[in-house]
Amino acid sequence: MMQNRKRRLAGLFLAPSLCGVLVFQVLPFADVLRRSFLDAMGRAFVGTANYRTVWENGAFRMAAGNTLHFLAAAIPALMAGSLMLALLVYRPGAGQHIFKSSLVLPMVIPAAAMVLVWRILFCPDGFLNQLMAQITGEVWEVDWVHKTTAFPVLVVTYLWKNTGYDMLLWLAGLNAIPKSLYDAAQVDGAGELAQLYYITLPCLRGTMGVVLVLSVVNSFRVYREAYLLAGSYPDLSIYMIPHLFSHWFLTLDIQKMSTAAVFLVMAASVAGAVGMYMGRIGKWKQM
Amino acid sequence: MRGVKIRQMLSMSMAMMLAAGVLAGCMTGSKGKGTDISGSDEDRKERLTGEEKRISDSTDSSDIALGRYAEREIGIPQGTEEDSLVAFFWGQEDTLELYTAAMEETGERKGARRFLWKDESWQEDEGWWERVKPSEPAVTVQNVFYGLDGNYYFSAMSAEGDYIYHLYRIGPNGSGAGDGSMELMPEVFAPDRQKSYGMIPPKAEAGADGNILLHGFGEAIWYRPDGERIFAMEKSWGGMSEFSTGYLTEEEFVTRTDRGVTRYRLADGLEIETIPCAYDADSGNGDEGMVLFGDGKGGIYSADEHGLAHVNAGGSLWELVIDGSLSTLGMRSVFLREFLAGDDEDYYGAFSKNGGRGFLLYHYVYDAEMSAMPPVKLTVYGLRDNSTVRQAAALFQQTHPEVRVEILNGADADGNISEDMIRALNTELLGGTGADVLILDDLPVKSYQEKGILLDIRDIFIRLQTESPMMEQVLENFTEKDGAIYQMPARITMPLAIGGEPALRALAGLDEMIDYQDPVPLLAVANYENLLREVANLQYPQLFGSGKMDLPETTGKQYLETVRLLGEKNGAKSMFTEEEMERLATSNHVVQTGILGSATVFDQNLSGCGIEELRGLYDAMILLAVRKKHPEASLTTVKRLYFPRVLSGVNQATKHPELAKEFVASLFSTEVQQEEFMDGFPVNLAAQQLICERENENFSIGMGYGDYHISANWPDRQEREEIYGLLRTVETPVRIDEIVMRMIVDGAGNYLNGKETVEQAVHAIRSRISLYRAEQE
Amino acid sequence: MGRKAGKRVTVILTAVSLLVWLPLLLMLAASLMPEDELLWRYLSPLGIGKAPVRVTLLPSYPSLEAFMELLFRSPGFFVMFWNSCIQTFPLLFGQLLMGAPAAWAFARLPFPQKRWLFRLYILLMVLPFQVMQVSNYLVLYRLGLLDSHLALILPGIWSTFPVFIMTKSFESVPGALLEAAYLDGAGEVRAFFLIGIPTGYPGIVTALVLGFIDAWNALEQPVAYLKDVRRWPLSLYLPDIVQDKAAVAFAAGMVVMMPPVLLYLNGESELEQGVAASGVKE
Repeated sequence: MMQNRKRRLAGLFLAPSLCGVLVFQVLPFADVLRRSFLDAMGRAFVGTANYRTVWENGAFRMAAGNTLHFLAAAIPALMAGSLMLALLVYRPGAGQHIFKSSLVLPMVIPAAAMVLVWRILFCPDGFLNQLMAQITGEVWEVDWVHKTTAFPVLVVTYLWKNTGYDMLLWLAGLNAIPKSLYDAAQVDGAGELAQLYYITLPCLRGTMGVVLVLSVVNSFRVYREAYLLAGSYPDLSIYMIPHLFSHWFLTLDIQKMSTAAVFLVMAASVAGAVGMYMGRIGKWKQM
Repeated sequence: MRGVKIRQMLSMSMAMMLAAGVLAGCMTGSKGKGTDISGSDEDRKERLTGEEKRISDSTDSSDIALGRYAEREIGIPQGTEEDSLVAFFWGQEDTLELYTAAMEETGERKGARRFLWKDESWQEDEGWWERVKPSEPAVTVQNVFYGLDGNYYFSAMSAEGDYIYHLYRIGPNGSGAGDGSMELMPEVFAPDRQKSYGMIPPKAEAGADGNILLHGFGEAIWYRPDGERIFAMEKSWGGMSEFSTGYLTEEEFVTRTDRGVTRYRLADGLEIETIPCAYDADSGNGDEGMVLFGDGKGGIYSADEHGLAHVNAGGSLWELVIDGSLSTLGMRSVFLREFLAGDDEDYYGAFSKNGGRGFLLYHYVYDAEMSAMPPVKLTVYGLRDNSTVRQAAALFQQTHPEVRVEILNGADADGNISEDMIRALNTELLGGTGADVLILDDLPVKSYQEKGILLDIRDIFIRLQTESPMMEQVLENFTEKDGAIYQMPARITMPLAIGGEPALRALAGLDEMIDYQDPVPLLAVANYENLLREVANLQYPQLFGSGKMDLPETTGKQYLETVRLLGEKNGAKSMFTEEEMERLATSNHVVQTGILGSATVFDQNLSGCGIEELRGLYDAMILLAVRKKHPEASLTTVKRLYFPRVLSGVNQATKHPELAKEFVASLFSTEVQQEEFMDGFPVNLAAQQLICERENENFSIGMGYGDYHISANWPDRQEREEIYGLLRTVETPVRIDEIVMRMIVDGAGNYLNGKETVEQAVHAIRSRISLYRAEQE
Repeated sequence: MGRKAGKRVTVILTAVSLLVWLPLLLMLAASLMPEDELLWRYLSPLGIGKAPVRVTLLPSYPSLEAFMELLFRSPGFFVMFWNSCIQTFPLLFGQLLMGAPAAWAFARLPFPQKRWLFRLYILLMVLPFQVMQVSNYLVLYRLGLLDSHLALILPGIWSTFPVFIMTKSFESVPGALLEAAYLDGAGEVRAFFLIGIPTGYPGIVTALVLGFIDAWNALEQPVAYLKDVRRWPLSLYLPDIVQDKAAVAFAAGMVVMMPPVLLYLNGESELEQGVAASGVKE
């Protein structure tokens, strides 16, 4: 009976959110799903033709490959870096607030203004080339954002922008760890590293999932900068899924976009399932 | 602890800065309205008004609101149909006065006629000019006005000798005493040293104390009647020789400045306030032809193509009184000259017709029974504002009183377009909504057509070809294999080349361009992007003739090498410095076709040929003047190429397919096509004929830079026939995919400045093009 | 640990902060330059000429011209500022109102198919905006919300992102605290308000701060759903990078980032207080 009451209450708690989500999120997503089986104007059923087209599409494969490449390069660095910073900032000490605040600044700067700064640094007449010339004594006129170097440049801008964001997430996780655990550990004579390994990291496992998911979500937003920096057809190494989507949108290929989105969801689900499986193993071990 | 404090101080100070800014913004925006932020927020929104919004605001309401100003034409005096409008104002005893003058072939107006509106008709004040005209010298009338001091004045230009402005006071009796008029402050207008002309104000006014305000081009100067200068007040650059925005009241001068509408105090010439203009200055046709006038209670009226708007004294919230798009105000073929308030909440408008010959007068009366908005709405979307479309919309509404045509433009106030705008449009199109009529210039037409966005509108053209045919070859170019028509250019432009025989022959192909050995470069100097575009457009058949946007390796290489060779010869660069731009008379500004206009460069023997993209006869003037100086040179089209403009199509999702088609048809009607708006030549044959026959003799232009100068007259009949003869021979539309062009420009840069080989550059371009094509697979 | 380690930490953090600060200072310096200096230094990056850049953190002739232009002579800027506020704050409030109970349900209450529902929430969060753009448009169109502030606010309120964050934070509320509350006779609703909210505070604040940043910087949504430029938010303020406006672009960047910074600076101390008040420290 208690259980039933709780259930009814859960319904009450959940209903407002669920209704809205159904209308503004699930409904559109269902429409996306529907469109992946229709032609561009959504008038004729084409079966799985879109899936075949997109799967075999050279541009899609290239974009997907580059996106994976980007995620593989940027996300581990981002997560490790932001975690380290969060740990440092979390330690009590003077001046920590200043650091915390300043690290968060990059994510609130509008892309349009930031791109100008990146250009100052990375254009052929820019600061980076001048710096390299100073160091090597040779003339440097590398066009960083239009060559294969665009990839590392993009990774750097992504890290620059998102590290603070992720750090906030880690900090929220750190804050949630009961202090009593540390006190107990200290009593037991555990050192700082031991506390980190046995208390902090295991407790942050949940947060890690959050950070990972959000880092991936945010990686799609790197397109704004990439587009402003290098145009809509940039160096092929930074041609990613958002570029492709953007172009498909311009040419009204919404059926392809929808299909690709379904692929994306499938990929995310698989990744999530794998992650969960591994997480479960971890949890079991922890017990 | 310290950290927290610093943070708080920091955030406090930032908050204060921000608040200060917000408050200051409110203050400048709405003086005298207090600091009610939500109120001033509304004010500010209002000033950003795009006409689109106002309109949809009123159509949102489901019940049909009644009441709107009806526009009624007032007859003009008999025999003045071909005359030009000199003045239209409230004179003595609140009588409406009209002054007209016959315009001679030279543009002179020797004498004028005065009419008074009495008993619902125009009564001429016979012999008026004879009574008021000066005995010496002979003059051509410029303007007549009634001063706040109760005196009549007129201004005139010397008809002979030096080009000098004269201002005369007729006196309190507008009819003239018979002994001529008194000339005022001639010394102000006397020629400067070494010049044959002095100050020529486009407009003059007289204040309550008899002082004279002369409108200049960047300022208005306040003079005592004896010619002593009191002070000057800043105003925006008018740019027209016979038109200036602004008006005097007893205590104030109200005018248009670059910041908005500014009120000056006449006591000391200091600014009282500046309020934002009723419409974004950059929207539509800019502030050209904006008329400001007072409401007698300190409020301001502003009339321009958007309509008549009113603001109360001290406010900055403009209220739309007459919607421009539903009246003659919105028409592009006539020019707003004067707008007056009547005494019963009615208004009068005066417009001059083409080149100042002929004019129209309208009376605006509130009609409480008329529906505020016609019940049917037809929307027309184009990325950029276009005069042909506006003109067609205005005429369409006259013939279809039940329809209101709403024109939506994607481009921002500065005319920039971005992919975001196209995406926003696509969202609507995919959602099965969107405008009824689409002006497809710079939109991804090919995709629209393939995806079935565009309606087959062949029936329009089948009908039009029997009624009022258009150029057969253009029709053919835009007819699909199965006979369907999805888009049709209402205007076309064509590249014309002038040059000697060898140079013109060298335009034939890339090989010929490379083989051209003359020491004088073939093409005029331009930055590399323009040069790349120019060559791509001129060699369109060779580069993209297959219709596919592909760039085969060998052709691509040859193309880039040609551009580099041409560039090395004419001194092209990727970016010029200010000094170079001035010296070479070129610009870093990129035009889509890359054709900057180089007839004058050819004229100075700096290039083997000069190429201009002609959008109308106006653009042919310089070209024809150059040819007169070079008898050996001839004028040809470039491989009979033309550029389609104002590509019109109908959205298949339209709820009014017949109306939408009818609107598209109206774009091709002789009535609309015969107007020249500098957006391209008409494709309608009858309109072409009308333009050829139309005289415009007093029109001339001059241009120059450095020591070079050239002046040109309106083409004579034979020349007009020649240009239109060439126009009728064009047969190949140039349609380069802008995305591909961008790829070429981006990829060629490093080859052109010597950092890469041609192979690398072509490879880079081709890899992007093939990616682009792969996306479409 | 002690002093030495603390110093090392400070050094590392300073170094990292410098990396963040230098580009920002560069921007600040540029926003304080008069036009001619800006052009002299940054002709190339502005795309209006070609000359080596002359980087500096200190303008030679500091001037507030660009800020004056922006704050006093660009009324459009303020319209957009208010629009941003109108579109952001109700959205955040709605997220809190709708999201917090849902998150509590996900974290603490049993109901069937909870897991799958939560996974659905996560999936919806991952979808890039572009994919949903047209479908979202259709929903808004049918509801008649297009071209109104609600077109941004309503979908924003039901973003699944804050629910996700808050759920994670509620999950870490110690069970013992809740047990104690139940023993005291508190019902679920009271437990939520008395234990859940104070204890999950850090998560709520984080969700709001991040939500604010997202809403404040939204670019795609307003362009897609607001045809009327008078409703556009500040994030779309993009002065043309032309000769006489270049410094304004930098100044706009500085001003646009101010509200989020202010909010964060304040929200962050709230966050700490919240943590302290929750009594987890024990």
